[in-house]
Amino acid sequence: MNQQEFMRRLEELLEGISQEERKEALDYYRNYFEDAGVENEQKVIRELESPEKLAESIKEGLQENVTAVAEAQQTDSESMGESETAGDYSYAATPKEAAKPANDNTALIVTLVVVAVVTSPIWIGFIGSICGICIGILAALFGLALGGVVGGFACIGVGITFFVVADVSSGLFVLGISGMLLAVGILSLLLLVLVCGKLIPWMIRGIVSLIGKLFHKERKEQRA
Amino acid sequence: MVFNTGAALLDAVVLAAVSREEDGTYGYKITQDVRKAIEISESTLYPVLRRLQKNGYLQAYDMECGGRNRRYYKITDIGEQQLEQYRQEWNSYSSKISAMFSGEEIV
Repeated sequence: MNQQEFMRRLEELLEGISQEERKEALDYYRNYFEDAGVENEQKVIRELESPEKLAESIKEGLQENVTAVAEAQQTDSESMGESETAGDYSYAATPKEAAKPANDNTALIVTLVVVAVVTSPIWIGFIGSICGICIGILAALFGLALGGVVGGFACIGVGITFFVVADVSSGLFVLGISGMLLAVGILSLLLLVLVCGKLIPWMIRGIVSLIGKLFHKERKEQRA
Repeated sequence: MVFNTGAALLDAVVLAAVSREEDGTYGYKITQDVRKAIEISESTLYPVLRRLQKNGYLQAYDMECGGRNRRYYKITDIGEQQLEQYRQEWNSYSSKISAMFSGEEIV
C-alpha cells in the first residue's frame, strides 16, 4: 500500500463524520506524509498500522473531545488540584474507555424517554383527571359565588317588593332566602379568593421546585 | 515505558512542545518532539491537537512552505496560562513522587 492508497481508503472510512472534521483530519495526514518525506513513507504507513485503525482513532478522538471538555469543566468548577485525575486512562492502550461514560448516560436518558412515552396513556390520563377535578372545583366555587351573590341581591329586591305589594310574611320569607343565598355566595367567593390567591401559587411553587430538584439531581449524577 | 501517560499529561507535553517554537510548528515535527519525551504512536497526536485547538489552547493556521500549504500550530494566551498551570501541578506532583521514592520527608 502506498500513500495515495492509504489516504483514499482513509477518506472512504471517514464518511460518517462531519465534512469539516473529515477535511481537517485528511489535511493533517496529507501534511504528515509530505513532511515525513518519500523516504519515510513506508515507515509512517507501518506505524499508522492501517487506515481502519487510524479512522477509528480519529472518530474516537471526536467523541473524546466531548467527554474531555466535560471533564475539564467539572474539574474547573470543583478544585483545580484534581485536574490530573480527570483523564486517568492509559491514552494509547484504551482510548475506547473515554467514550464510555457519555454512552452510558445517553443510554439512560433514552431509556427514560422510552419509558415515559410508553407509559404516557397512564400518566397523561392521571394528570388529566387531576387537572379536570381542580378546574371542576374552581368552576363550582365560581358558580356558587356568582349565583349566591346575584341571587341574594335579586331576592332582596323581590322581598322588598313583596312587603309593598303582598303581605309581610311573604316578604320576610323571600328576604330570609336572600340572606341564605348571600351567605353561600360570600362564603364561596372567599373560598375562591383563598384558592386562587394562596393555594394555586403554593402548588406552582411546589411543582417548580420539584422539577428543579430532579434536574439538579440528574446533573449531579452526570458529574459523578 | 511502564508508566501510563494520562490525557492531562499528554495535553501538557504537547502544549509545551508547541510553546517551544515561537514561530509555530507542524504536526510531523510536534510528533517527533513529543516522542523525545514520551512514547506515543503516530496516530495519537492528531486527536490531541484537535482537542487543544477546540479548547482554544492552540491556534492553527496555514502557511505556504516550499510550494504547498502546511498547517501550523501556535500556542494561544490561554494555552500559555493552561501550560503554566500544568507546570505547577507537575512540579508538586513529581516532587512528592520523587520524595516518596527516595525516602525523604514529604511536605
